[in-house]
Amino acid sequence: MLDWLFGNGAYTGFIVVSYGLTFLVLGVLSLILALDLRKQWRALRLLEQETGRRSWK
Amino acid sequence: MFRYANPTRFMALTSVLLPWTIALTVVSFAAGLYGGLFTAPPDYQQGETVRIMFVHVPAAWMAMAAYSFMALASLVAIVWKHPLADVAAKSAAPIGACFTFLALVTGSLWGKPMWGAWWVWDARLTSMLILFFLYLGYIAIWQTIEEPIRAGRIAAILAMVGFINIPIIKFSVEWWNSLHQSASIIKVGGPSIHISILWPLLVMITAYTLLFAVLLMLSMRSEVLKRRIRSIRIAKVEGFG
Repeated sequence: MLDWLFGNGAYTGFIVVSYGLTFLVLGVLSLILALDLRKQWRALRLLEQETGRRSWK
Repeated sequence: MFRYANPTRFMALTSVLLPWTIALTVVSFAAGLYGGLFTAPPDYQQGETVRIMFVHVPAAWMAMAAYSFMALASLVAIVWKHPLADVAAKSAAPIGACFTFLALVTGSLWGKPMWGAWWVWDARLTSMLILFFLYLGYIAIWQTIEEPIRAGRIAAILAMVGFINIPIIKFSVEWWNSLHQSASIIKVGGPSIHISILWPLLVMITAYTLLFAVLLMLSMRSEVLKRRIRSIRIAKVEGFG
């Protein structure tokens, strides 16, 4: 079924999957780290409001 | 360098550096992908599959570079007890693990059409798999040990001991018979790759390095905030006590 992609001489699939997977993994990792940073900022701001302490802008 | 090891200075510095590094990363990826997919010619033996090299080689380099960074940061954390060193080592681990995973998978996707096998228990491939397990072990230590100072110390020892695997990966293709090709960029006599294929590869390596810097800054900033939150909570509890 996937011979046109992965069959002998048809290398398109290997290239597409390599690039697709690379950018999917790197994209998801970037998103996870960015969202985690935003979550930590929110938690810190909330805690600062409660305690009256000030950390970073 | 030690001047910037203060979390407050680090947060200020990275808030300025981060947008510029992101912009440079995007430009590098655009240039590297254009060169790799459109201007680089097919290889005379491998044909179009050589294009997998532009994502596989930078991932493999960054897998080893991230581990070396982690081992160095761990050494600094153990010897000088630097406040940001184990934050740096801890933050680099999941990023390095992702690069190692990508190097293994894209290598497998390149190996099937070229070698006729998805996987062989070859010295280079096996030592890369060991690197992946070292990353997982390092992450597992931070996840399972609740006390951060103890976790940091044990994880740092693993990172430093595991560094022995880096030269093994690098020289495995010379020390043992290997299906994997030997070094073609950093070698005596200069690179053996034609400039039309070499420049997109070098641009992609730059893009991956910049991406590592961006992800590391994001992850380190997050870890600094987590530690700040933890210390405020402890102070709050002690204040009530």
